[in-house]
Amino acid sequence: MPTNPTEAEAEAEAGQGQVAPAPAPVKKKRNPPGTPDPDAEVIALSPGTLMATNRFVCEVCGKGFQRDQNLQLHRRGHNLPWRLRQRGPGAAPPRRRVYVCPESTCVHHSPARALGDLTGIKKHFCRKHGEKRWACPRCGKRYAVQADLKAHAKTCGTREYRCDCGTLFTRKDSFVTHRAFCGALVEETGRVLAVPPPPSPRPPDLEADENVDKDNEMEKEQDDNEASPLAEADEPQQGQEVVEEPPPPPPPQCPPSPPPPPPKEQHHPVLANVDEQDMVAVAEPAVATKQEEEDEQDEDVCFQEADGFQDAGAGLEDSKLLDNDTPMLPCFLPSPSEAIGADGSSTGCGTSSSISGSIVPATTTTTSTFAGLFASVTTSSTPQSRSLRDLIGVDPTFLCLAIGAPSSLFPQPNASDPCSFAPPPAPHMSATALLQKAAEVGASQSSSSFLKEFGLNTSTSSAPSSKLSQARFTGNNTPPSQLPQARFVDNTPPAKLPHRMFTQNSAQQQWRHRSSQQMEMEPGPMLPGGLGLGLTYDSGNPGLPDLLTGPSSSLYGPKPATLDFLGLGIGGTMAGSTANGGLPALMVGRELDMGPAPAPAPWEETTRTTTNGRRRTIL
Amino acid sequence: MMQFTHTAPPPPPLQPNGHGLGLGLYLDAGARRVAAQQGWAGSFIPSTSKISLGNLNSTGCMEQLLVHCANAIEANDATLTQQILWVLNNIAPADGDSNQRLTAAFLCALVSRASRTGACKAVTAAVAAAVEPAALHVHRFTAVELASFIDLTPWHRFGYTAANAAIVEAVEGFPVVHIVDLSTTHCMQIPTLIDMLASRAEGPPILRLTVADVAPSAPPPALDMSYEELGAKLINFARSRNMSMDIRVVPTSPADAFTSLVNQLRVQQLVSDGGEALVVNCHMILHTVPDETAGSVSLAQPPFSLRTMLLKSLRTLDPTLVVVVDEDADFTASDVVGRLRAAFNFLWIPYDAVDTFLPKGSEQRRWYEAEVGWKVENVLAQEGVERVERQEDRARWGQRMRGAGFRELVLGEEAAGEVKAMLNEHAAGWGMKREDDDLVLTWKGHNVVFTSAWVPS
Repeated sequence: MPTNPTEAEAEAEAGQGQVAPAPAPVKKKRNPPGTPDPDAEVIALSPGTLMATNRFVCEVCGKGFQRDQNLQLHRRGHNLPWRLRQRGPGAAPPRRRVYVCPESTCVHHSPARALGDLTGIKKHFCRKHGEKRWACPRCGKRYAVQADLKAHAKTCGTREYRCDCGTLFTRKDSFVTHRAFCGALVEETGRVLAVPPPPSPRPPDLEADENVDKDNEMEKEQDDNEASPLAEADEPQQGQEVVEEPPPPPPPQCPPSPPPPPPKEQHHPVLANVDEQDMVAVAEPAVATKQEEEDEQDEDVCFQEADGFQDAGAGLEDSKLLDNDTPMLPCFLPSPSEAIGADGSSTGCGTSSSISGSIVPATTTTTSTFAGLFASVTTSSTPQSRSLRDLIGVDPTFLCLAIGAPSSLFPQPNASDPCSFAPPPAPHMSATALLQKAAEVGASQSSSSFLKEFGLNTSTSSAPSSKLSQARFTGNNTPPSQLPQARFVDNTPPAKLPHRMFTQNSAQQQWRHRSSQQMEMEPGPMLPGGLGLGLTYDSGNPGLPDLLTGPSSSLYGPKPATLDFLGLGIGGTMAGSTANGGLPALMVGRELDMGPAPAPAPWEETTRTTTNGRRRTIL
Repeated sequence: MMQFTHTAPPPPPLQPNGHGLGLGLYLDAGARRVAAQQGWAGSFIPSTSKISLGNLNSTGCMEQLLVHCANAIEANDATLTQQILWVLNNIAPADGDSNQRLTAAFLCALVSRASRTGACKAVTAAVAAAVEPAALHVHRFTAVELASFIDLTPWHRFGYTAANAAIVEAVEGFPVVHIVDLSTTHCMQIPTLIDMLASRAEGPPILRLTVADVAPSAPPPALDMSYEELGAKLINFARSRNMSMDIRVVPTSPADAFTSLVNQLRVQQLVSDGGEALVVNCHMILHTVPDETAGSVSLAQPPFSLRTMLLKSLRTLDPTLVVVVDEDADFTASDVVGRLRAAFNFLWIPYDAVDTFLPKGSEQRRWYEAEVGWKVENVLAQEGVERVERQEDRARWGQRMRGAGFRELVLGEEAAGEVKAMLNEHAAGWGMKREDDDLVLTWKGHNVVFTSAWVPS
């Protein structure tokens, strides 16, 4: 869209008709970025157009071209009418075109700062406003334009610092800091002390020198330094490495976030873990080997878990949901603190999946409902579309509040037996985890009686039940979308959250039963407002502190409506509230997934559920 | 926006294809009060607008929800709190995008606050049980780990680089340099400083390092190593750079304005011969010293806070240079909502920045976000002296320093150049600008951290 008035164009044409040769050399000169020729035609292209690789497509063979003129040439080959712009001696030379950036916040959005060529604006848009899809496999630096990565790859690693422990640094300050605290230095200076001190501070740029020195010594001590082979590699070799190894450009669609197990697993340690490991290796070889073992084990766990999970998933053919989940699995694994026994965690996984297998019918109903609404969401649990999920900002687990949770209801015997839980990952004890702890306090006191009260599933007797929930808890770190709480587990900051609201896991089994039973037990408060959000509870006890009360007091006590806060018992509650016309707006989203299922009156439902506990919670 | 009414129309019909159909979310502080008074007997109803899921995910909306939630907690409104928490819990998964993660962190902090302010005994007990392990679960870094962790972003490195440049310039010609390192990052700045001092033209000085050990109450990152070991490594490193160095670790606390440290410095000053350059390097720690809003502290006279007191006592040491590096934010509002807003509009930066280069499952990212989460929790849930994240903005620190008798130095071109070179190695969003005489680190144009250099006036 030319913003310049046509009269400017006419003027230019007129002028050029007369003195055609004169302006030509001027035009050759490339304008500095952002200061376009005032006479130029300003073109504003949409982001889609800018990012499109082939804008011009042949209607016969479908071949795409970036430029119209190329397409015209191609059409000529098809014997189609074609039209090439020709610049006859008398014709006006083309007007210069400048391009503005479609991003309205960008300085180059203004025609006054338009960029001078199409490729330039494309690259600008890509670089500044596009996703940086190209990562350097060596240093991890990311680029939006592949050419930038290529250019970087030529120099990456050439100017770098290398510690004797084998760790590479691209920046001097990082290197210096590392060096000061790295065990390798201790060795070196330990030796230096015996010898006269170095004459002058070593110029850190000359790492090669140091490496040479080091190499000699390294040879002597190779046995305990696993990094020595690396350290011995001299500079030229290293350069070769760069050339040989150069990473095939990473698969464009590979998202950085959920690393699929094998390739990332390799990539990752190279950047971070191995370094540390190596350093330790220098200082304390024994520890290092141990760590190594652990790491290996970790990996094993990873794969085993993945396998187990996949197997389980394969077992349940119709569990679409699970299949979707499977690929995401690895991204939750790497936490070393979860270096649980391999069998422990894999069984945990397998179990949870098979458990959810038992609820497949209901699950699929729910998902399919949502499929319409949140098609993208459902798919988004696969790694490929994970970015999509980020885009729309809807978490699949949102949908799963009602889906994943029930799986814990009916623990298979082996779910509890290995007690496959490890201490929750250290740095971010999640809200749920904390809450769960809080809940446990109460649960241990009251859950058994509670369970008896409702004649529930004997396998969840008090002690196992609290334990079990925990087991699930950590187990669930892995299949993230299976449970809403899994995401809490994963990386909530270490807040102290004794809040029961999020303790879905800990007491959820009970809650679930409870909330549907609730209808029966306490029709009074429920019916008028009847809201799963625990409104009734409030009417009795408006104080916040009570809300936060541990399970011991109110959770299993007379006002369990609160338990339903998270919509765990939605099936029953929502149906009930719908029937009553008292649906809290907050619950609308929740209600959606209940929609397709027949909404029985709570009373009906509860009666049914008493006969069949499994179905009830999901409906 | 929306209202709560007591007429109860049926819930909105199900729209199976509703891409625009969101989680119906109708919250309004004003209406809330009314509804709460009426006991929530009815339901609340969509009246005018709906916030679609798309919008729901916007930062503005999340902030609004958090503010509502904080208000509800302050008002002791259990029901509303519960509801908003539920909504937040659903729209802000802790493994979502950076905004969702940010919100999740705030959510946790609010829950923590709610549990803290709750009067119920059972909760308190449960909290106590839960809190202790949480504290233990803060990752303890090895020195090498911490070094690479610190280098993930220029958050700290910016201050290091600018401060080092200023220090090296200020101590030029002094044969003995005494650095007082007041920092929360466990001497991570010192190696680069040693390196720079060691290679200065007139030959390396003798370096004295006094480290404030604020261990018990220190904010993260936590170090898995005693300062003695750390000091040994530093001395060793200095030796490798042909520089002699000694180190003194002084246990002290920001809660009493580092009194023990200042006293010790004063004693040393009496015995020193004057050929020593004293540099006080304050790296992201001054904000942990109680300010005027921190409540009554017996040590400080009413008109003065410990913060003022500290600066004044530093002034009496007549240092060669004082470097102040801190986050350019203001978390000193007395009401939690004010702090929430301030923190929300500042702490998105680390989440956003880390999102650009660390994969979601990454351990370092978890550590990083856990650290930010700690900060959020401290700002929102803690009160009194427990609340150590009391950042003040750059201008306020300038006032304080001037008030304590310091004059600002212009950070030179050298410092600016080094910082720029360092930033080039980081993500494109980082930048640097000058404001007054300070250097300011920016992320996408927003101020993050400032560095300023001061001398006695």
